[in-house]
Amino acid sequence: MFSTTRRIPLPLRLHGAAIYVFLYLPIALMIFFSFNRSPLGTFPITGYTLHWYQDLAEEDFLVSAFWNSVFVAAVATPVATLIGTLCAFGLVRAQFRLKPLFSSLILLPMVVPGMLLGAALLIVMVPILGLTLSIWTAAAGHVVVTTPYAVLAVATRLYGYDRRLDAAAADLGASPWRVLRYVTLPLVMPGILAAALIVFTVSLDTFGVTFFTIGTQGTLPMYIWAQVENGVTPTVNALGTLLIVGSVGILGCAHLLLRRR
Amino acid sequence: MSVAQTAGYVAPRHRSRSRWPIYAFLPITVMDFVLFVLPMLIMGIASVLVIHEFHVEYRLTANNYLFFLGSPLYLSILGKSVLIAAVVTLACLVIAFPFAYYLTLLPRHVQRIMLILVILPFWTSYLLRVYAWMTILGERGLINRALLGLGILDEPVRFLLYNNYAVVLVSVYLYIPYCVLALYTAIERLDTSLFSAAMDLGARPRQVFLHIMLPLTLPGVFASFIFVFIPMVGEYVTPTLVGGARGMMIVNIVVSQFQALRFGIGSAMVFVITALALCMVLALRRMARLEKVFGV
Repeated sequence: MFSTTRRIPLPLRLHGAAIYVFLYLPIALMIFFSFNRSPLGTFPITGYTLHWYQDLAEEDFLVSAFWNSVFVAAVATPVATLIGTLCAFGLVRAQFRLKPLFSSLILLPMVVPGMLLGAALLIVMVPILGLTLSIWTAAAGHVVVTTPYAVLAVATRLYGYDRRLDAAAADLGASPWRVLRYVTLPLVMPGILAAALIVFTVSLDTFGVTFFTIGTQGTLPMYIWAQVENGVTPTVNALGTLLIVGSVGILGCAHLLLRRR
Repeated sequence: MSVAQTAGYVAPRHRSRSRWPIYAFLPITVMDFVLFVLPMLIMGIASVLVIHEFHVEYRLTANNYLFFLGSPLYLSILGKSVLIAAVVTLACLVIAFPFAYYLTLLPRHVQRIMLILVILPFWTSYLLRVYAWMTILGERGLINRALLGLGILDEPVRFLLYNNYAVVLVSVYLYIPYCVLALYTAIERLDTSLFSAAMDLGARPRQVFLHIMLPLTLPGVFASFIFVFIPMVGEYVTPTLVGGARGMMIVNIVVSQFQALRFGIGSAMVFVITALALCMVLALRRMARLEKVFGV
């Protein structure tokens, strides 16, 4: 098992192949069934159709849920990206004793179950503060959940940043502000854009926090939730396929931006 | 300037740069305090107050906790949720460990592609990844279809869905990418000459694994605990969609309390679960070297 040669034992290869099947089979099936004519959304296979995709465009609730999702993500993205970028600069460039503790605390909203955070926000917003839940309260929740992702993305880019470039600019007489404006920011910008794309995608998919903080308006996950509680339907298969294509597309861009030269 | 000085060149320190960090942490600290720490604290306080639907009475009470901790049903569901989370974490570790090791054996450029392929499903809709399993385990799903087609079954079976096993299976599917990533990072850093050295000295593969590989990859194991176990205790979508009534977990109870506008009891439950989770993060934080996630 612990060979240093390049030959990989067969059991390991098979195990690896099985994992990829495990990871992709459910998604592949859903995509497959979205083109199946059967109204059951699963077997039997009765022929090829694009009918379920046409149905989606006619669902008024879906269209409004889509725009609500885009609205919440559009509010949360700039805020989370800005907060996350500043924090990433601090984490990568500052040295202080409590840094390990601080950086793990920053991660917390990523691991604490969204349903629990959502419930806590609901308690504060409704009985205590007497607010009406709306897409704005949901956006506030999304900022908390998505900021750690922004920190991660920007820190990844900053980590590979050659600080001698800043030093060179400063030696040539640039003020700290000019160094930041004309040297550091342009070089880190791909990381910040990638962070924004990741935050946007995560926000579109956020379920737990939204569940408790959105009120009567729905986002895409809320719409999907209402649909899937009734079991498998072909329109959800079609919607799922579109969402997968969309998020993989956005993240492909983020990946290209984060790639180190 | 000497060569040594050039090689060990240190950037000149600007006044502004030493100030950077304080301003930089201010927004995230304020945001996390107002929208994360404060709500959790206020919920903790709310859990010992009398709350009638939307009206808060500022009078202390222990009834919310007594109701939760005095109910054998709720306690058993809490216990089961912790157990399911533990089983899922262990299953993820056992399945992901050989796989992460396999990835490190591949040529560099292939490793990158394979890793991206592991993480990709994680970025597609969380709800839909749970939902997709209904097309496999359901009455008209892939498994029943295959078994009927092969003549092994005469009529579709229903026991594949709506139980604890389905919850575990789907949860492993949901959380295994985290685990692969954490273990891969830990194994990839290992010096493989340690294995050869141990083998040369007569160690068996089992001994190499137990005494060299596992201890050195423990941070990855602890990190997996944080990224799998904690979200799992608060899992709601999976038990609802594929667990049904028998596969119910503690957050299902929390949601039903909130839906019944029993905010006091609801907050007591959330507070207990969150406190459990936070203690675990703080206990495992050092061993998991969490700060490494940010590469700093």
